[in-house]
Amino acid sequence: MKYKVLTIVLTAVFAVPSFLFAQKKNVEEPSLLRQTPFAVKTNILYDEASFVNFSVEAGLGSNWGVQFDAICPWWKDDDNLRVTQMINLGLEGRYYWRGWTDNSRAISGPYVGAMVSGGIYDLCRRSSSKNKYRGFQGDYFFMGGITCGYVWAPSPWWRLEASAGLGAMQTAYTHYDMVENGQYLMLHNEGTYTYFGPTKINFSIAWLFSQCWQQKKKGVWR
Amino acid sequence: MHIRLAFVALAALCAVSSCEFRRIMTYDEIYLDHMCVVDYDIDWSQLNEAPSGMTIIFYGCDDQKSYSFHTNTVNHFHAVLPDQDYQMICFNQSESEFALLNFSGFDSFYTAEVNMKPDAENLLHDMLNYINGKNDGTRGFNASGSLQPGSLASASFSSVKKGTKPTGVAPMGGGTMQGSTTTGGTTAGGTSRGFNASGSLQPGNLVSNLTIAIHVVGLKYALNVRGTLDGLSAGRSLATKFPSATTVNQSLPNWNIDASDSDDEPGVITTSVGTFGVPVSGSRADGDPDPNILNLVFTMNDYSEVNFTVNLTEEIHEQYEEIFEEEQEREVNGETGQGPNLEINIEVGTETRPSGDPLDDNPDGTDSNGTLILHRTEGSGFHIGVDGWDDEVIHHIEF
Repeated sequence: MKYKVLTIVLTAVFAVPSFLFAQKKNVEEPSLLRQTPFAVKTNILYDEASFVNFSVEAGLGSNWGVQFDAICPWWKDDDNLRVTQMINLGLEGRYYWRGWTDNSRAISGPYVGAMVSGGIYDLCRRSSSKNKYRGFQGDYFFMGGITCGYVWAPSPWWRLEASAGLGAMQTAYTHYDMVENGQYLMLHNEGTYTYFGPTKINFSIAWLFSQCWQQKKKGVWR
Repeated sequence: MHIRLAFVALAALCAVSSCEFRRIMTYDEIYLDHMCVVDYDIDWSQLNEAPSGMTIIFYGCDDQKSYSFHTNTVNHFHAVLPDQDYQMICFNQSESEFALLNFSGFDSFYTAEVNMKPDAENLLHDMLNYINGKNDGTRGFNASGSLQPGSLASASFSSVKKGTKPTGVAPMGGGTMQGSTTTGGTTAGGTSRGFNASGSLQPGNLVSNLTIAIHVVGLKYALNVRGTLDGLSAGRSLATKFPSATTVNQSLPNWNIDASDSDDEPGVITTSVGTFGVPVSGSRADGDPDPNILNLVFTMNDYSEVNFTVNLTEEIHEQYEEIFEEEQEREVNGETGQGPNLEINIEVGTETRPSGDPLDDNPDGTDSNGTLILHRTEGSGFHIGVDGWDDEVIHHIEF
């Protein structure tokens, strides 16, 4: 039940910026409409590790961006032994030094930012030392820190991004053992864990699905 | 735009909310609520020697599956099984044992049985043993290929029920066993060890010892004797312990000849052989048992052969059925069975010489007491003797 409450709250929090920055019309320029640039991304490094993820970034003004991150793998093998299940929702604010004034440079260049995220997880693998399957279920985890990176713009519609983050993470976990050939999860111990260090590594490919500026042609904004 | 975003957010919310983790349980929840932990101490004292391996099979009453365990640890057994009631069979068996016995019918509790392999296989086995120079028999059989009493034992529960969950105990501590026994084994109620089904088993002996003594007049003229006995059960149920209805002709190769020096006094030939018993009334298809005919062949000192046929049906069935009923009662009451002392003693004839001289009148027959009478063949026959045959001579051979 607490997982559901947590996800509802996080989803509601992250949905608000989407509504606020969904559209900003500059009515002062009759032939040129200023749009909020949106980019949808996926972190290839996490994808490779089967941690399916996506992000949506919205550009605010000429230098700022706010990004919503979601990491949501939900895999489980047939034997119920190897499990990768996680819901991680995060929010990151960014400042782009170079800024942008046209579509080709929107959401690009070097940036610094701050991020917070949180979620739940269940990760189970074979323990080579113990020769049995053991796992951790996170009742919650929160993470916060600073990020920096660079966004390349090979075309007006595509971006490549490399970034990393440093910060802290805290989780309350339940350590368990798989018993009876994966039929049951037996409690091993519970605890909390706090960590300081790298919190993010990212190499993303992004697609801008909304232009920074639109021109009015034949009475229609394109 | 806002409406579309609201739909996306709502869909994401539903997707996230539908994800639930697997449930983590404590040891008690898993093993005392969802599993059945069985733990037995096993007493093999009814066997002549400790077995080198054992087999325990649990038949699930709900899932109709069998859970079979083969182990060389014979004094203790521990396993975790799905939570349900079981029927259980335990017997001594390992891969190297009982080359001449066939264990079959393990699809269900009541059909599990042990049978002697066909004679052809026995002969092949004996032949291989002879070729390999290790004619020392195999477990369950002696060197001559006869079934060995006290070599095979089994215990069974027709219902192994899970005990009530102990309260206030640490994992692996406390607990009881509930188990109603029908055949074999005893439960140790009130054990302090804590498992869902625990106690002690004492597998009961499956092989009876059949001793036959025949009084014979004129025995000193016989060189040897061999025989067979019809109508013995080919095997025995491992669950109910009933002898199988299928019968075999069991060979009686080893006879001890105790001849009398006097022509007037009968001598005695005796043999002892292991047997699975005879079909009792509960296991026979019809009311008439297969006759137990003892076929004897005496080789006389003139190398002629004299055949006798003795009907032992009444004597064997009378004794065996009485012993079997007593054994069943003991096991139902949880008492220890008779074990290797499951004896059948058959005696034919008397020690006293019949009146008159039947040797002349009734050669190769029986008198009114059932004593066998062989004809006189003294002084006849063909004998070969080599002087100094048994003297030991040591030769040194240099190469």
